[in-house]
Amino acid sequence: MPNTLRDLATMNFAERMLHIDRRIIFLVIGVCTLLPLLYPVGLAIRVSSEVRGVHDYIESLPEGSVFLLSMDYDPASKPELYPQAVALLRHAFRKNLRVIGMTLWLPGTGLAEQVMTQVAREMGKVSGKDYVFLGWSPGSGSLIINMGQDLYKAFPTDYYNQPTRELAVLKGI
Amino acid sequence: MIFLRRQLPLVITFVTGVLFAAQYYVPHPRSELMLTEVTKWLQIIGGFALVLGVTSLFHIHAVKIRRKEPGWGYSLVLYAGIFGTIAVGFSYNFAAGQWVNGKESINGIMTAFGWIYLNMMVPLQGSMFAILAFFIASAAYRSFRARSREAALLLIAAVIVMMGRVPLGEMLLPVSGDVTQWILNVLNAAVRRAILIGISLGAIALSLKIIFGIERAYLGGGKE
Repeated sequence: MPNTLRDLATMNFAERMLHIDRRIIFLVIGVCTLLPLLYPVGLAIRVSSEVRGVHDYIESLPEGSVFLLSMDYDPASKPELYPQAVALLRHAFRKNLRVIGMTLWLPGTGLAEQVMTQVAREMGKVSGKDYVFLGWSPGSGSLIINMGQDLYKAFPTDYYNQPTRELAVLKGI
Repeated sequence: MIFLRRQLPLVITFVTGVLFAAQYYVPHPRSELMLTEVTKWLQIIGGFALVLGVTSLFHIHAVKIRRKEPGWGYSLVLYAGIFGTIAVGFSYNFAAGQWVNGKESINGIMTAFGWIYLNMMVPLQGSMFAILAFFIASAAYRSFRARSREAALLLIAAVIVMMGRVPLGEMLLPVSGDVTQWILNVLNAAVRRAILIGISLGAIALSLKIIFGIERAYLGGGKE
C-alpha cells in the first residue's frame, strides 16, 4: 500500500490501479451486484452443449422412466444450483417421469425438500404416486452402493416416514 | 493386552483389506451381499462421526467458556444455538399432530425446526458466502498480476473464463463462451484428471501400506 501522496504520485496508472483501496473494490462489486438485481438487464443466456445434452437426454426418456435427482446444495450454493434443480424437476415432471429426489448433503435437506414439493405442487404431482423424496442418509459413496444393491434397504422409508416398498412411484425398481 | 491393542487390529485390517480388494473382482451374489452389509456398517460409522464432531465441538467451546478466553461469549451463543435447535428438532408439532423428529415440514406444515432452518440458517449461510465473494474478488484483483509469462497466461485464461461465464461477458466478447468451454473441458479437465490419478495412486499406496501393517498411525500412540 502507498504510504504517502508522493508515493502515489510516482506510480504509473497500472500500479495505481493495483494499489486501489480495498473499500473501492467492495463498492464496485456491491454496485455491480445490486444494479442488475434492481434493474434486470435481460441479457440472453447462451445454452451450452452440456445443458443441451442433459435436456436432450431427458427428452429422449419414455414416459414412466425413473429419474433420480440428488440435490446436493446448501444455502451457500443455492443461488447457482437451485435454478438448475427447478429446471430439471419441471422437465422431468412435464415428461411424466417417476421422480426420485434425495440429497447427500445434510445441510441441504430442507432446501431439497422445499424445491421438490414446490415444483411438484406447481406441476400437479402427488407424493408417493408421481414422485418421492427420500431425504438424507449418511454414507455418501457407501449409500450409493447400497442403493444400487437394494434401494429399499438403503431407504426403508421416505422423508415423510412412508415405507418405500409401498410407494407406487417405486414399483418395479 | 498387546495382542488386543496391536496384533488383533493389524490382523482385522489385513483380512478385511485383502477380502474387499478381492471382492471388487468377484461378481457373485454372495460377494455383492457382503459388500452391501459392510457399506451399511460404513453408514452407521458415518453417523457416529457426527456424534464425535458435536462432542468435540462442545468440549472445545466449554474450555473456552471456562477459561473466559477472548470471544467466549460467541461460544455461549453456539451452545444456545445448538441446544435450542436440538430442543426444537425433538419437539411436538401440535398443528401436524406429530413429533417434529428433525423434519423441516410435516404434511406440508412448516415446523419450528423448519422455521429456524429457513429463516436463520439459510440467510446466515447465504450471507457468509456473499461476504466471501467480496473478499475473493478483492484478493483476486490484487493477486492477478502478470509478473511472469506463466502468470500472464493464467491471468488471460482467468479473464476469458470470467467473461465466458456471464451473459455480459459473452455479449461483449461472443467468442469467450466457446473458448471458456474449451479451457474448462480440455485444459482444466486434463489437469484435474491428472491430479485425481495422482491422488488415487497415493490412496492405493497408502491402503497397501495399511493392509500390510507398514503404516500403523491409525492404531494411535497410546501406552502398550
